[in-house]
Amino acid sequence: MANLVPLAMSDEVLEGVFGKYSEQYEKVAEMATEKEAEKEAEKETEKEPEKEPEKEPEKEAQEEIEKQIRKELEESEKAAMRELERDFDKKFAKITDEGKFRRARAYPLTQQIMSRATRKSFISASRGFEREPAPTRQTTPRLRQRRYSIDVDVNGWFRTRREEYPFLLSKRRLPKKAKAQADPFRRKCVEVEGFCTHELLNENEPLVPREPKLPFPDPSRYPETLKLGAPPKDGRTFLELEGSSLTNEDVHYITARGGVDSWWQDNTLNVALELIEMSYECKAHGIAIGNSMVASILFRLGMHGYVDDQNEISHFKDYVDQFKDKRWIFLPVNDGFYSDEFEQSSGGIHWAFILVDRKQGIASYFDSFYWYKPEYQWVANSVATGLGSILREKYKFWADNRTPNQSTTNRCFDAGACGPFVFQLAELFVRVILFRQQEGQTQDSLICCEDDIMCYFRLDSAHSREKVDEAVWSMKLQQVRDKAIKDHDGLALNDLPHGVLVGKIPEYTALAQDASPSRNSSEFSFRSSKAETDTENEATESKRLKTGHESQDNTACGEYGAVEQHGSGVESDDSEMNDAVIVSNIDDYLKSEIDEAEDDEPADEVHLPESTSEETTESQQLSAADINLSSSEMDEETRLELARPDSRLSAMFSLFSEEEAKAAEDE
Amino acid sequence: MSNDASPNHMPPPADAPLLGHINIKLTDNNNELFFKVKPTTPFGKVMETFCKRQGKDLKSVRFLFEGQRIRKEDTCETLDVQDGDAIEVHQEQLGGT
Repeated sequence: MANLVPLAMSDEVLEGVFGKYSEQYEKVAEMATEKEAEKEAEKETEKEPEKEPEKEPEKEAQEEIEKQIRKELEESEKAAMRELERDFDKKFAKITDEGKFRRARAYPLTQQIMSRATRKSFISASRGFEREPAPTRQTTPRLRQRRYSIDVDVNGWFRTRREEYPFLLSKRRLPKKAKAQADPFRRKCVEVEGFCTHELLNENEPLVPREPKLPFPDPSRYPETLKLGAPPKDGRTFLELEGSSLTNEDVHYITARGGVDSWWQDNTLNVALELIEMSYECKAHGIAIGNSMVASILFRLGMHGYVDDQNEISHFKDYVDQFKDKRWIFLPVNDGFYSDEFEQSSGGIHWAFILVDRKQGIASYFDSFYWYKPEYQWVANSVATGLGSILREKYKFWADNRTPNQSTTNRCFDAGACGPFVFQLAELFVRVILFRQQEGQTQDSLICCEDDIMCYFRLDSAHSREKVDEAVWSMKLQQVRDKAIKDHDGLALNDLPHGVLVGKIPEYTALAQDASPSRNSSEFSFRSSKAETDTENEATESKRLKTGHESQDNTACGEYGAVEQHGSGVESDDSEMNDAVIVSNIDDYLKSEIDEAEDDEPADEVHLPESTSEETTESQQLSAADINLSSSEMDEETRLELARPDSRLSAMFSLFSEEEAKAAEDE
Repeated sequence: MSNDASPNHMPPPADAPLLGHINIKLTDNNNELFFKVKPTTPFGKVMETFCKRQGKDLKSVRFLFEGQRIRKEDTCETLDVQDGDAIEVHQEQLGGT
């Protein structure tokens, strides 16, 4: 109102001035009329001589008065206009740049605001980020001292559920309006001092937009803070790995256990197998896990028998590279490989897999439903033959007859358990192989023939499905994280000073961690993995260096060529272990056997090698017994008696063995 | 199908490649289709054409080049496909019983 005061005063002044002078005007006008009347009367009587002396003083007085009046009028008008202009300028002043800046910024005393709001959290920061962003990974030495402060508004925390969500607990439904009022996430508008004061308002100018809030650095660098929703059911790619990919639709069917949805497509199984390969670092341990497409190609090659044509094989160079330096090769098998040969292909109905042990020259077939059917065995054998063709080797094929049936021995109902079966058993074998490498065993016995694995293997397809699902999701989170870290650290670690080391991004170990099957826990397992990977890696590495170095050398690629070329003579050179002696025997035997055997016949009968060496140790007998088991003429009790005592696995499975023994006795 | 008639022995297409074009061969064990594509053409187009010709659903078919799965957005340039290279087409597999 202070602005208006001078205006009001000026009005009064004006009125006063006008009032005063108007009275004077009237008086002057009356006087003028009287004088005119006198003049006319005088004119009639005395015309010329009386004019000059009477008129002069009166006229002068009148003119002076009129001049004064005009001057004052003009001055007062000018003053009023000036007042008005001043007032207008004050009221509708153009906004200066500084004013705009102040208006655009909510908190004028601080820097630009950085904020992030989710449904349950609201974070804002107003300082610290004008420097370069902090890198995700640790650097040695640290780049600079950083100081962060986080202001947390705890208003509304520590309330009971009833206080916080009254509408959730009340039985009757509240109307929408009341619900909205009760909504704790609805925030009130808060007026801030120093913001939008009236002198900055100008209606004639366009609105000044609020200064945009900076986003926080990408929080997906820390996947424990992320929770991805289920993707829509479409054909877009959800997860992409090196050799396989998963679509959005496939993700929904991983854990389905009823109806046709429960059948795994090749996508799902390939991703599951590749996740095993990645999380157990199989490639570094002499294990290769092929996918169904490689197996299908090998089937086409081997379905007509062993191929000796060099020309033909030269096209498979990529697959040779994949498998040539590996000892154990897993390949999934589908009966659809054969129907794929025809125009109207059905795509198959059943998954199984073969495990090829190249050192032993044995391809074992594991099938949870049709292991006894020759046509299914033929498909698997063809895959093995194709693999042998490109690697210039021949394998003895046999189908494991102790494989548990997927429908009778499954721990839960599952309409399509063969895919999970392949995953579960393949993972088990990989773990056993790695375990023995760690323990420093030479792994010369056939793991597939060992009772303590197959007898205590319990198919739990629901658990396997959840495990795969969890691994897929955590892999997805990891990919998101890796990308975010890459983008963020690209800025943060742009030009590093010389000699600064950047820490590694922790690697993916979800499957190998034995995390609990729920998806939520995968997020937490990530956290623990991040915290512990460094120490774990160090520990395992040092362990490997101490114990498993020899065994790694044994399984390494170089020796494989040697085995192929020189037969089994190599093992006896470094035969510190007891097993080595036996295995050389087995190798001799198998080599001779392979030459004689035909590929197409599934060789169920594997006879004991006649021990040429004079020493017949206990372990020799046991492993011999193991091989004998493949003929499967023994019942379970005898198998239990012959369980290998040397491996710690038997100790691990001792609980099961007791139960098993009891069950067998009861029967 | 005998080994001699396998796709790898098929003669290359008769007409000489246009400048900047690449001849590729798509084979699913029974049929072979030859395509002439630009190095920058995404493979999605080729896949769709192949499926239309063969009367197949794009979802049920997998395309492989040198053991690698081909994505729709890949091109000859990104995959380093040379003139006369073959791309294998696989039927999707399913298993449950």
